[in-house]
Amino acid sequence: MKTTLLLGVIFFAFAQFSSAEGDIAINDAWVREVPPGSSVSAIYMTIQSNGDEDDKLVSMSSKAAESAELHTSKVDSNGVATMEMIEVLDIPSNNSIDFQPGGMHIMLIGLKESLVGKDSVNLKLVFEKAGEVMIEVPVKKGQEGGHKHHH
Amino acid sequence: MKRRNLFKILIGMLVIIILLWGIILYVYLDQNNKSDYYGIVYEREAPEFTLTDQDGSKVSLSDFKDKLVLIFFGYTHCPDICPMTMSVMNNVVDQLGDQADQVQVVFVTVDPERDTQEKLKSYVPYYNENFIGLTGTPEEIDKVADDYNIFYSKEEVESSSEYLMGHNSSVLLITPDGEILMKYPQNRMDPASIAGDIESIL
Repeated sequence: MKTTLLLGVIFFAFAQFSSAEGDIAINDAWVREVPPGSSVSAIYMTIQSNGDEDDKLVSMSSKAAESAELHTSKVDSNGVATMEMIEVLDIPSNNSIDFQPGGMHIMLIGLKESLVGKDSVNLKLVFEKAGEVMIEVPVKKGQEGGHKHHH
Repeated sequence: MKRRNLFKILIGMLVIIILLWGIILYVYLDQNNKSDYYGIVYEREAPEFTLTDQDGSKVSLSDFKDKLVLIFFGYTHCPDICPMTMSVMNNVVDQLGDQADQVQVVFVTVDPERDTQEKLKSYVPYYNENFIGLTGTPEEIDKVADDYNIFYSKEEVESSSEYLMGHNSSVLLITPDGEILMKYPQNRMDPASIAGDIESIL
C-alpha cells in the first residue's frame, strides 16, 4: 500500500515535471500608461522558461496597437539612446529573461486608444515551441525610483 | 673631486624637491577631482536659448535665473527612455518637498515636426503640471541641441510609418548662476540621489 502510494507520488511528480517541459510563464507584465494622445508605449515583463528545451519568441501582437515589436534601448558611452529591434529572441531552457525600463521591451506602435483609464491591454506572444501565449497586461503608471534596484 | 661631490648632492636635492612637488601636486589635484555628487561633474556655461512652451509663450533660459534647471532633450513618440526619465524627474521633484519651487524641469523636444505646442500640452503636464515643454522650428531646435552638445537623429521603424529618434538622453543640471554643473546619464537615474545633489547645491 505504502509502496503504491510512494510510486504514485513519484509518478505524479514526474508527470508534473514533464508537463512543464517547454512551458513558458509570463510574470510581472505591465504596460506603461502614457499621456493622452500618445501613439506608442512599452510592455515590460519577465519570461520564465521552465522547459528543458530552448525556445524562441518569434512574434507578438496586441489588439491595443497597430503593431508590436521587440526592442531594446541602448545607451552608448556618449549618452545617446537608440532602440534596436530584435527579430527573434532566444529563450534558453530553465532561464528567465527580464524586460525592464531602459532595456528590453515590447514596443506598442500606433495605440488605438488612450491607455489612461484603461485597466489592461491584450498581448499575444508566439513562441516557436510553446506556441501562442495570450495574456492580459495591466496598465500602470511608471513608478521609477520607488523600488528601482541599483546597478 | 670635492666639486663633483657637491654637484651630486645638488642634483640629488633637486630630484627630491621635484618628486615632493609632484606628490603634493598629485594629492592636491586628486582631491580637487573627487566629487561628492552623484551626477557626473561637467562644469560648462549653459548657453542661452529661446523656444516656445506648451502654452505658446516664448521661454528663455534666463527666465529661470533664480532657479536650478533640470533640462532633458527627448520626444513624445519615445516609448521607453523618455517616459521613464519624465517619471524620474517627477519623483525627484516630489522628494524635494518645499525646495521644489526652486527647481524647474524643462523638456526640449528633438522632434519638432511631430511635437507641436499642442502635443507638448497633452504630454508634459501629464507628468507634472509645473514641468515646461519646449519646441520650436527645426532650425531653432537644431541650434539649441548643437549648443548643448545634444546629438539626435531619425530612425525608421520596420512595421510602421512611425519613426523613432536616437537622442542624447542625459539630464543636465543647470545651477541658478547658469552653469551646467552636472550630467545624469541613464545609468544615474536614482531620484533620491539626484534630489540629494540638488539639496546640497541649493
